Amino acid sequence: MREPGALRPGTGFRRVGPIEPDRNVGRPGPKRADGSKESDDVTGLTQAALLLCAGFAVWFLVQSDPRQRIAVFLGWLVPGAGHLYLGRRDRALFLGCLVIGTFVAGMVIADFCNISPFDRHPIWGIAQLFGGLMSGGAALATSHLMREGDNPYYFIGCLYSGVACLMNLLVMIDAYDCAGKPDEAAESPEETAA
Amino acid sequence: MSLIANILFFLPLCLVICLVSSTLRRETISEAVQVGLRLFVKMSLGIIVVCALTYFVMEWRLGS
Repeated sequence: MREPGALRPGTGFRRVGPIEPDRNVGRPGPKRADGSKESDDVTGLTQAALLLCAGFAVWFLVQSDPRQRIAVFLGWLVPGAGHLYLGRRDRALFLGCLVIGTFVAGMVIADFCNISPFDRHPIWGIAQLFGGLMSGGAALATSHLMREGDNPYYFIGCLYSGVACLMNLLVMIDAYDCAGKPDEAAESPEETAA
Repeated sequence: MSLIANILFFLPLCLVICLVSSTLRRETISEAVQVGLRLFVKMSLGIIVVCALTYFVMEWRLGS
């Protein structure tokens, strides 16, 4: 007989209650001689990375024009949406499919338990910041799932999803670059012909 | 994790990284795909050769 709340056997995960904040943090670690813990380092790194991201965001807001801001913001929300806004449909589809496909592949490999910024893996959470709605939606949709058993490919899944979100940063940079070239913003003649 | 599993997980990710990074600063998708595939082949071969060399050197140093 199946345990209450269990999903189909063999799916690799089961439904449980909400995750407690400290329950899945990667390496809580024992206390060191000076009283600090390894998890303190992770938290410090996370805060430093967040500060760095905030600094870059302020710099970007100061030196960009509205068209670039909208393109980058849309690109952050949904991979490829910035290019779509700029009228580059082929590029948007190509980049969006690559990034979203890699992200979903990572989730499948890790049994849908790898996306949860800052309560499961603070370090991967920094990478997942660049996923926008993709990361946020996945985190919300899978926050009730817990790892069950030992999945040897779990961290490979984390790597795939994290790299997909970091690649979205490249896509945003490309959207920024495209938006900065007003004369070439429309479809190039070769793409239009194709 | 076995070597085959490592390679099977590494190759698709490497391909995607090469394709996305080669799209930057290129006007057409076809040009980006060409450059990305070339980069993927070069990078994969390079990594596999370096890994094989490292493996044999370690085998030689530690095995004796």
